[in-house]
Amino acid sequence: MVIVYHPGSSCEQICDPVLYIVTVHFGSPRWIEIQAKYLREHISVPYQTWTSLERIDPSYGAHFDRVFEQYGHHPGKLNHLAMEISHEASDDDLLMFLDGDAFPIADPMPLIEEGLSRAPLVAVRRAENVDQPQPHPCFCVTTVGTWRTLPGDWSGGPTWPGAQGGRVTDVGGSLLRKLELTETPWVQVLRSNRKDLDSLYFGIYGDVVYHHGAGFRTGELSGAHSDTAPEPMPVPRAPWLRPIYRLMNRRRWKAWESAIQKRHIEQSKQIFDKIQRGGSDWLADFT
Amino acid sequence: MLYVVTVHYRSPRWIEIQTRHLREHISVPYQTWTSLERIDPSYGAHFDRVFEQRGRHPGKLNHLAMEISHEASDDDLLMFLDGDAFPIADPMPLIEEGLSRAPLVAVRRAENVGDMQPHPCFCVTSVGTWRSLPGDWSAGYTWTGEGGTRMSDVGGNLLRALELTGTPWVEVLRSNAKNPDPLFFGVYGGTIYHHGAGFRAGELSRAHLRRAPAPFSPPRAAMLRPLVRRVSWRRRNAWVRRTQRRYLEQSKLIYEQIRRGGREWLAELT
Repeated sequence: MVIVYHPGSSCEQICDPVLYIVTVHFGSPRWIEIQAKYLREHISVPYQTWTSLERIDPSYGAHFDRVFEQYGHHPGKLNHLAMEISHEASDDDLLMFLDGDAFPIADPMPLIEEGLSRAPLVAVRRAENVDQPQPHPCFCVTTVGTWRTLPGDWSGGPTWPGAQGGRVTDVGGSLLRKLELTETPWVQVLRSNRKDLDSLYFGIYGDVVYHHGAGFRTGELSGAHSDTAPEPMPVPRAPWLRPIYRLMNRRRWKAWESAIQKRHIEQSKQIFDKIQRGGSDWLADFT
Repeated sequence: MLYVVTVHYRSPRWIEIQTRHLREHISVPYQTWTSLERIDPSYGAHFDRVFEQRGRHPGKLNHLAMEISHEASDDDLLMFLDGDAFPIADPMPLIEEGLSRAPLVAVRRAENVGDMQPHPCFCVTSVGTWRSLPGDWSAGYTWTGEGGTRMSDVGGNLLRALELTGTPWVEVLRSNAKNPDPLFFGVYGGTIYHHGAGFRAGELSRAHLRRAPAPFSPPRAAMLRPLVRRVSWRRRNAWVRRTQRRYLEQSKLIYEQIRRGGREWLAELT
């Protein structure tokens, strides 16, 4: 761990930077105890967890250092928590964004220290999701100083080419654009699963962070999934046949979508139950 | 330079109206920066810069402000203006007077159940202030509205950034003399018209919903309670449909009057 001296700071002595973990839970407390346990097991430096628990029993707040009342969408909640931390923390302190259904499966500090020695920001890039180019908040670490000066913003907005050729955006789009405009390099942490139960979900990144994926939504399909959808049958020459073909294509797509969603929900439940039982056997399904 | 940031979505219906009123009333050099998701790209001719964007309104505004901040000087002005909002008088006196008192001037929709935050239907600040706050239109941060419920909305995080940095701001409030609706068809500071929900048909706000009939109190007899709940629910739904219908009719009427040109339509509001 880098030791940083803060002249004139409240501690007036040699201080360890604090790692501020920003995580948002919504609608269900199912990941809270799991995430908190893995953080205790694997984070080797002083850390604090800051969160919001919209539509979750407030008693779960006991698992965190700071809980804020928030409403709205995920990017705005992350921006707000980072703003509150930036107001209190020192420039050298670290800011770790971690999705509610993500947690470390090994000490992340070697990866973070090595990454931050090369660039001011280290983040997962979900290249497996139709080659998404942007940093993803399932795991992203930077200093409070870098977040302030960029300034960071998790909103979508700027676009890139998506699954069906159209332009798309997603959480982290504005952060990517900010990094480009300020020519700030960043270190990408990529998927490192040796076994893939799903093309996007149940991901391990840099052998250090597990991200269940859509852990607060059931059955939602991403661009990575849509990419594997059946191609529509070619349009027939006879115009009167076209509505029938369109209907058949729609039905075939719906059937494919239902099958994928069903499989995803079953796998998700199975893996969640294994993780909840404790131990590290569940990791054998991926590594 | 005054940079006008405005987002149009799905329908081009406000583009010509907005750009015409900007030309008529803005007395200083200005540029309009926008995005036109699901709108024929030919409408881009009405603007100085058009960006391809997807996603939600706050993120689009943040992105446009970021692009401007990258090119503009600290002293340049940034004006956020909703797609269905436009000046009905020269806004520069209001802006100059406001910015002489505080670094940010914005509409506060106090009529929307006591909204506390700056609203992007009209907000002006310098590029330097936006950079140093830094500004963020996302919701997230909550406040207590009238009636004691916690709420957040677009502009919530900007309000919090202003609070944390101890930055004062000048509120521009609704100045309608006549109110055909509690929230929509608003005139602010005698200078800006905001049609309200101009890109969403029939959506009701908190200001509308608080006027909805209260549910009947549950009867003592437990067996009657489901029936009373059902009656309350039906009464509320009928009220919502009636209110939506009335708002949509008014919206269409006022829009047609504005489109025809002239200032007669303003007589119904001021």
